[in-house]
Amino acid sequence: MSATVQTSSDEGDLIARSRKGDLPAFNLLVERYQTPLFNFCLRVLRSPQAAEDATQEAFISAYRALGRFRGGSFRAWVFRIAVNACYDELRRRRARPALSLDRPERGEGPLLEPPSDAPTLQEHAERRELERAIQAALARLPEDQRVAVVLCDIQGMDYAEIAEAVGVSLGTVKSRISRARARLRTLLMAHGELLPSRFRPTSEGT
Amino acid sequence: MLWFNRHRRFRDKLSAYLDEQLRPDELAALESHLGACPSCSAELEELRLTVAALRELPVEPAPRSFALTPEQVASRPPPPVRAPSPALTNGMRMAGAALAFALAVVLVIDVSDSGGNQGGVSTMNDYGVGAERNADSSGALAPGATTQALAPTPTLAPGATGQAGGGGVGGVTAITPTPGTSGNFSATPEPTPAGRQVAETTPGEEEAAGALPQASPAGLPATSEQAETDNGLDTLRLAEIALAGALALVVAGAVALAIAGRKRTA
Repeated sequence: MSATVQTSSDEGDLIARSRKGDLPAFNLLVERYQTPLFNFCLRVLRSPQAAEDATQEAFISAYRALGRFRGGSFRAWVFRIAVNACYDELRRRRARPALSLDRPERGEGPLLEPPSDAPTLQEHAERRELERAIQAALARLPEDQRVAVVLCDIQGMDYAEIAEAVGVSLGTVKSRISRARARLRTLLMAHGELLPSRFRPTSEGT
Repeated sequence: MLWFNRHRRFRDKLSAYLDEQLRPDELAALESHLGACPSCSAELEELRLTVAALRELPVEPAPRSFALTPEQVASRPPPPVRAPSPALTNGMRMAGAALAFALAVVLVIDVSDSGGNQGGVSTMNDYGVGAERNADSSGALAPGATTQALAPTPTLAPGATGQAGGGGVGGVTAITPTPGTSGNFSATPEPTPAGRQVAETTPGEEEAAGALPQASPAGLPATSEQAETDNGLDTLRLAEIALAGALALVVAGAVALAIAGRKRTA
């Protein structure tokens, strides 16, 4: 997990060049952040297609908004743009609920191909099971809580960075994360049979 | 009840405890409680498992490269969803346009009646030019380069520059001040390259000039106050004030819409 880091000097250099219109320099930044951003959007929006669109949207917005980056954590800044892109999509879905029915919610196809590093089918099946259970539980969280807990526990951001990325106070971040985890715990433990065995609470505790 | 409340207080802190976010005194109190309370300990354990499960979610590789092409950053129109509904924006623009036009007419009549300064009929030609410039709506992503036209270049209407532009992604300030427009009495139509609207005025429109710079409706009431230089026709004065006031409302409404459109739920 990465802690909050100030923009490193080579990143600062890339940012400076990007601001002057150096698109290849910006694309190096894109390369650096595209996987975390895509994963974030995927966990919040649940649909690979929507996540792809939101991620693309976010990078285009980021390039155009570079003039407004004032230093500090570039990661938090670029994630903020992604947060907004996701909120936009969520708002669009609320406005046209009928269209979101065709979005795959369970078992999104392309993601469930066996990853090349999975040693066994068993392990792969477990990963799928876990992903499905968590994704279903995440879907039942209010959006603000979902965003906060994904940034914290999936992206590994600390509270301060999350506060920057979402644009709320530290106290609000803490409370959203706390509520999100409590709710996820209830959902996941209640359907413990969906979880791989190592995640089920044992009577002895650990 | 007391038991329940005490546990609730501790349970609310379990998440922060996992992230090592508790103050030393809170930490000590919680740990001492956990030592004596199996149910809170159990809950802590389940929270730990939940967080561990989240952290073990597979990291999906990006499905493709998201590297940008020059075409994407140059000509791509901003996403329309950031704007308030087009009907509303258009309605406001039409209302703003109509009011600005009416105000202009009234002011011209007023000015030419008082036989004073040269009329500003020529500047009304800017009106059409400027209106085209900011015809696209919607929250732009360019740093200040595209604006959301609140009222299409009301060159004679004070302060009603369409500046509540988008690009709100980074939490950007909406209103970009138009430089150098305070007290600008020149009648040369000169749209700035960044597409910002400069509200031009003619020398005759002195009462308008004072309210130029920001797209803030606060500027407009000043207009109505200054509009009593001449003890000319009361009707005209009333008309000016009424129109300016109505225009102020339209601009305020459009600004509010633009801000609301970018506001995120807390």
